[in-house]
Amino acid sequence: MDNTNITKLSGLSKIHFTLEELEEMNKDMESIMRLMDSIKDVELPPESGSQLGTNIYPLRPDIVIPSLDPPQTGKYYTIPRIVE
Amino acid sequence: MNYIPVIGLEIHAELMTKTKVFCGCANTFGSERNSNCCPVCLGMPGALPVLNRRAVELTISAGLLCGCRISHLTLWDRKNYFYPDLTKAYQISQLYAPLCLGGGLEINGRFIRLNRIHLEEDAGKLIHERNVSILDYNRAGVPLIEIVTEPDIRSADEAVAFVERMRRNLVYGDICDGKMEQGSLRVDANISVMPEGSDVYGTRAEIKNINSFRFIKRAIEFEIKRQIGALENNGRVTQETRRYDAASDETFSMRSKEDAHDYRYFPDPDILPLFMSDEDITGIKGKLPEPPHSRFLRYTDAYGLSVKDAETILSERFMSDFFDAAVKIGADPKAASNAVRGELLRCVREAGSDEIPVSVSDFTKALALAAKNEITQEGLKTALSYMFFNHVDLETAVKANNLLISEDFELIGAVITEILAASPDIVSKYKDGNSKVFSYLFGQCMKRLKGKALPATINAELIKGLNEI
Amino acid sequence: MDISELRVLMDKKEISSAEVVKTCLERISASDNTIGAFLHINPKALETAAQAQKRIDAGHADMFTGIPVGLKDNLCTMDMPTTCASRMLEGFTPPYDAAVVEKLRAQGAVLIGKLNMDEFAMGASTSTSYYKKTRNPFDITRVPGGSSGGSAAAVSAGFCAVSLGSDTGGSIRQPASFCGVSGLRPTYGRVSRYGCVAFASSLDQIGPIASSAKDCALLLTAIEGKDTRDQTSTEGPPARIRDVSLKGKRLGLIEELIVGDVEDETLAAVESAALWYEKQGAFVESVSLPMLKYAVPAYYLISSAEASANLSRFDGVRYGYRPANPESYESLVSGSRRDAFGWEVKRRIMLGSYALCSGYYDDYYKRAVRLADVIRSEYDKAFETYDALLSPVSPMAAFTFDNIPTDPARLYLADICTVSAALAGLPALSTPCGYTGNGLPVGLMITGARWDDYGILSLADAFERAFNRKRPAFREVGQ
Repeated sequence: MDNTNITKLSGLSKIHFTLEELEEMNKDMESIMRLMDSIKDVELPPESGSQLGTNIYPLRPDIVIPSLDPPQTGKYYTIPRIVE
Repeated sequence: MNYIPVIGLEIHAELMTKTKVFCGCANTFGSERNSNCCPVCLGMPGALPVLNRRAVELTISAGLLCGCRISHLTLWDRKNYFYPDLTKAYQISQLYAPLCLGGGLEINGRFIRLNRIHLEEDAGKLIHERNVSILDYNRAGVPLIEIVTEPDIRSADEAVAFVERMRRNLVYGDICDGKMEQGSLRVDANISVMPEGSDVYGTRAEIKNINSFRFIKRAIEFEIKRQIGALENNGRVTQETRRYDAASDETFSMRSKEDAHDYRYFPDPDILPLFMSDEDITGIKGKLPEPPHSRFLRYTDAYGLSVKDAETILSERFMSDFFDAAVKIGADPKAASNAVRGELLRCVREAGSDEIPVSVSDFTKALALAAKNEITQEGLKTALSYMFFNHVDLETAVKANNLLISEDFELIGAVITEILAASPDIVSKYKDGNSKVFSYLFGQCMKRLKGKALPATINAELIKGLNEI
Repeated sequence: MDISELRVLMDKKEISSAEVVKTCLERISASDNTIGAFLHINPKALETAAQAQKRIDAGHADMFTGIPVGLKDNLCTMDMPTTCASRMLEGFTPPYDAAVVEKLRAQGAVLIGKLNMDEFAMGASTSTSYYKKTRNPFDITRVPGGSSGGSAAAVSAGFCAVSLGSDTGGSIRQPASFCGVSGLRPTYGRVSRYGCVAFASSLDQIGPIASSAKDCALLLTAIEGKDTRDQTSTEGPPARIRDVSLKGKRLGLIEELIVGDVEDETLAAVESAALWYEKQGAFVESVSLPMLKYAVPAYYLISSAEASANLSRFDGVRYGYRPANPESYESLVSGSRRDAFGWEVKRRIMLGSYALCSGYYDDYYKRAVRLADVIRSEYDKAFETYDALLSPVSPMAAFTFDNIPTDPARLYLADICTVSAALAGLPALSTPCGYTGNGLPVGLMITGARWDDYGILSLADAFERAFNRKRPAFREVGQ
């Protein structure tokens, strides 16, 4: 994996690195991906990967459960002004 | 060169459930900010989503009303991206296996196909102030259905008609309240143009978050013109996201926050795949309220109303429900239709409400009184609007306004005599053969006798009176 | 501290809850400066003990009434910070309790404090904690294992009777084995995850760590059960630990986990345990699960992918660490995540995001999910023949702080023994079965068929009754 890939991933996950860190992360990821790549060639039966489990209907009933004291009730959360 | 517009719509509708889609917080509009929130919808650590049964039912109802295929096995997927109104930095949606597929609506003889209807969660509200941006998460986690059409729509008017018809389905299905001004129904339009005769679609632009019917039409029309202009000038349309600005009546390119974004969809491991049996789906079908289309057929076929009148009654659910209830207890459909579309609709508009505070039985009785000529048509109108605005019953309204026709010939005679005496020159004109002034005299009598006598009676007595002079 | 014994003594009023709790607090006070198991001690511990005593006096005690329990710091507690050993949640007190915490409170357990862990449960040494190092009570120059290192060390050092940890790929079993105590990873879905800060949703399970399999079973009973707030939780078949006859039991020794880099002493201890079972009349033979050689990459791809999404909510907007004076939303979020996540967490997020990226999804994440399914089938097939499977918990005993592998691939490969049970959703436990020449504990892992948690606990219990368990030498120093 090279720096452009890490940069892209860093953008997607909003974690930025210094140049040094980028180098180090790159090295780490190379080692890790060598290990991960070992799964690429193994043969898998075509029907594998079916669902972990099945959620049978009827699920959660539509009844209000009031939350006790939600934080910030009556107030807004504040962040720096977004420019759109 | 002639260009054909190619339009696809994405309609987001907030479901009328009592609670949010993944937690038990109340789903209500206008609550105190950040009060309908809990660890789940706030995306707090350790909180888990739990799927709302009713949200699934309503999504399927929407699909059934549009002729969709309901999937027996559906998945929920995480759509990953960062934005402050998205508390988990992923939206739980359905990519790989949505609840409803296919289906469509017939609009003025053309069938507009749907691609899918799926269930997902809404984000919070982000408001920009002068120096900061602020967030209210009451809306975060509200269930949303996304209705995606194929690019089958060919004009702005057709798009508006489609949205109107879809909205009507949703309102009648108790699925969504359809209040665009409150944001419970939002429309995105994907628009491109292609040369007439071609079968290759052009590059499309997406117009986002249009929130009124008028804007749908104008935004689309503007965009079509803009794209044609762009093609004729430099041959290209950019694929981009734009927003419609009502003040200028134009669309503008948005600084795209999701530019070719990689959402890294994967099945949400907290929400296991959902299996629905045929029985489950049939059960939901059985609970659907009568859809607008079947009401329409009843109005036109069984009651003999005109298409236009039927559509008017159907245009608001509360009108149609009221009308149906009245007919059910014996109101004459044509009379009820006239009164609902006439006086009641006028009152509703004046009050700016979407309710009729008149009891169905009082309404029906009022119609019966008019039919038996115990009150005049004018009297009927007076009775209805008096009940509407004063919240009283029929008997009170009739008494208060003296509406019962008394056919007191002495009174009628006295009034006519008085009016004729007050306008001798008009009487002369009439005597001289000017029959047109009759209506003036008749109008005067009607005004004075307002509802106390049938017009026919006044007419006859006035003629008698004039002849006696 | 044997729970059943304690319970009897307490119900007979021969010892009070306050006395037990005081003993724990004294030990903590004397030795936790060295061990470093706790991130937070509950200031209300004695108060809770007094409340518990009232129940005991009135004859209304439950199994854990008045018993001191430690909680891994990824379990939400309304009255104590929940940091996940990360700077991101420094001082964060959640507005709600985890389901397991609710259950323990309802029983009147004394929640003694929050225990150290690897940051966001990612690691196998507890050394990635932002706050402190936890040391192995058997040898304080060595790691206690991870990620539930604090939970295991606390039980091992006698700081509490039992503790709760969490296991995603071995995080209960491996530290239990390093610290010479018993620990169980329950069947997936047996214990509600509501309130356990999510690492990998399809793999996380909360489980008991105690000084015996019997006590693990008692704690499991207290915390298990379907919870409507966790749709992945299910009601397991009701069961308890029981005396089992080992005669005729079929035990499979997993071939793929006893070859390769397993240290000799570890292997010897595990094999001697297997031999013991044989002597009691069980049939022990080798069983091969060939797909296990892909278990580590499959595990890391799945867990990192899910973690990358689960950790995205940490952006400084609604709670958690915020950088000072951010100029924009972008810098708020990226500053928060840059400053407040440790290196291992960042690595996993990179790996996880990569595995889900368009163009890579099929080859990595999807493939890993398919692999996990195949591994599950292999196990299911093995359980048609065997009642339980045996293996080491770790290829080596506790390593020193200086010897923590720096190469991530090497580090991850050390998880080879534990990850596959997690991928298959099966119950698995660690019980001490030997000691190295250095006096370090070695754990035996027993994996069971789905829902057979009490079955494997019973097997472990039988072994434990015959096994001479050592206490950490450290405790002599502490006492």
